[in-house]
Amino acid sequence: MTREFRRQRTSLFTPAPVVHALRGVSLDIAPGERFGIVGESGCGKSTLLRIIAGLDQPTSGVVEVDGVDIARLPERRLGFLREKLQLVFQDPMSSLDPRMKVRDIIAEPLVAQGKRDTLPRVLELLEAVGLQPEAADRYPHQFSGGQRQRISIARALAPDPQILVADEPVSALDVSVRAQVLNLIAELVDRLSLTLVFVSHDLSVVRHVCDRVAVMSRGEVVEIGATEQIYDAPQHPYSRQLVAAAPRLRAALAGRTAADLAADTLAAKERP
Amino acid sequence: MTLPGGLSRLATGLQPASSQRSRRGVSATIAIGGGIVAFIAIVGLLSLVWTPYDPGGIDPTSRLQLSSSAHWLGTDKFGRDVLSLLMAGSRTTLVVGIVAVGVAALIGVPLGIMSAMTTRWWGEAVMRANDLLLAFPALLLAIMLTAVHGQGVVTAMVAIGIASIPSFARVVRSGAIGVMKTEYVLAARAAGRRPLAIAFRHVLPNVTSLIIVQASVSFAIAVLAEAALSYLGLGAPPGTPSWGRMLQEGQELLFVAPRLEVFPGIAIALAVLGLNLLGDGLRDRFDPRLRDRR
Ligand SMILES: Nc1ncnc2c1ncn2[C@@H]1O[C@H](COP(=O)(O)OP(=O)(O)O)[C@@H](O)[C@H]1O
Ligand SMILES: [Mg+2]
Repeated sequence: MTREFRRQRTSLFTPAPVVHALRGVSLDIAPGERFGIVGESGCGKSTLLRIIAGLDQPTSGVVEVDGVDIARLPERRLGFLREKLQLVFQDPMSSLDPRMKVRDIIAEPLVAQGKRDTLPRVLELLEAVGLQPEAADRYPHQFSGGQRQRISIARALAPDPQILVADEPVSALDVSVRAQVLNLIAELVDRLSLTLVFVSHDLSVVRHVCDRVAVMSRGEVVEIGATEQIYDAPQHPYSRQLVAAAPRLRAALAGRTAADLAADTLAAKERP
Repeated sequence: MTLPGGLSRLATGLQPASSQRSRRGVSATIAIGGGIVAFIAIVGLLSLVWTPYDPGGIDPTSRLQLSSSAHWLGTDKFGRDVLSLLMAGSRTTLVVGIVAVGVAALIGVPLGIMSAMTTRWWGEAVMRANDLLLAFPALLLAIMLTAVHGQGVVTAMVAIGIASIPSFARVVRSGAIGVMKTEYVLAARAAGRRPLAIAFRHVLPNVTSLIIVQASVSFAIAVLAEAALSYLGLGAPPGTPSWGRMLQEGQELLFVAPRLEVFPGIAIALAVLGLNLLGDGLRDRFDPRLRDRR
């Protein structure tokens, strides 16, 4: 699959420059799998996710979901995908409409499907993501980044999807909050037996939640394999770089990795 | 409900939702701007049922009088009471402003939103046509319409309204393009929301503050344009009270009775000031993020 963007022309006499956001990407994600995608910022991760979610169309190639090629379907015929696949985005500020109450935000996928009387479901979802029922009548700006991501997760779970796609859901959060949100996602994916597609630029975060991982660099997938395998024995030079750099960088910045913190809180929970 | 670890703290960290807003009350800008606009509106309504004298009542025996207890702001060259004329003139100003802004918003807002949401060629085409109209002076448009349809308040309102469409479309389009790029619109699309629902539930609410500010700016411009048109004899016809007409009729007596120019001038300036203050104040207040940050 490829995706090219045309940049704004810089001159009348030269054709518009083309950005190759994705080149020859090919992936298979099995039902129930927790699939990770890692790569540096700007390598095309978000573009890939938007195409998988039917929010953007590839320049060439096919995207099959349950045997249906969604790449060439017009948006109004993607109804089945909208019920099946939901997203959590990166930016907790921009992913919730500042003019909507939390209850309307979470209910949106339900309302889009023509469901009425959504409040009971909204309250159920709020509890599932660890927020108080009072949150329903507040506006997004009254919450912290971590809480907003919880609201995003609640919205994504509202239509009972089978596939959850998360685009760097913890990258914009404080390290301490990161672990909580990460654990919440892992827990919900487990409980609801979801297929997870999880994107991050940080391999240690992906390692914490994913079984299999694809390493991307400059619009290409350079390596795919089991997470542990790539972590322990990276084949491609870029993967090696990623493995070597991420934990050390993180250790230097924060003292500990997000994964360590997550492991700690998990351990703490399991203690009687 | 039991919450893991740090979660209970999160819940208590929330701000009380409504008390915050009411405690602070309205800002000084809104109070002053809104006060001026409300005053003009009340005067306009009052003039429907009561003015000190008949605003059209010509009285040759009391021409060009100075302020007195009988005529607070004096009389004009026909012996009409200036205060009564000002009061009745505010009606013309308000009606022209409301209709002109209404026409401009009703056409400009949908155009701006649609051209921001479509990826088709006509989105661009609409905006190029918009630029053409924007480059076209409002007064020239009004003069042309007057030539075709004859002088009158309705022609003036429609002309000013049409001339204000581009600024609405422009402002709304740039705001809507920003909204369309947000992740909450992506999420709405992923939720299966149709474009019309996205336009009404996400785009429109998030550009209302822009529309309100633009409406107040356009209203102020319409007040000035109406005065200019009437001053040129292209707006309110003789017999229709209007601040612009008062300026025109008082012009020849500028050095004899300058107050005949000063009073309508103050009225126009006050209306423009009030509208601009109100627009600024409302913009700050209607944006929930700005509101709670203060
Ligand atoms: N709408 C767009 N128009 C033009 N270029 C784009 C657009 N979206 C993404 N790109 C480009 O495609 C590349 C990949 O972007 P993205 O998928 O957002 O990367 P990532 O999510 O990995 O940081 C970048 O070089 C970006 O500039
Ligand atoms: Mg990205």
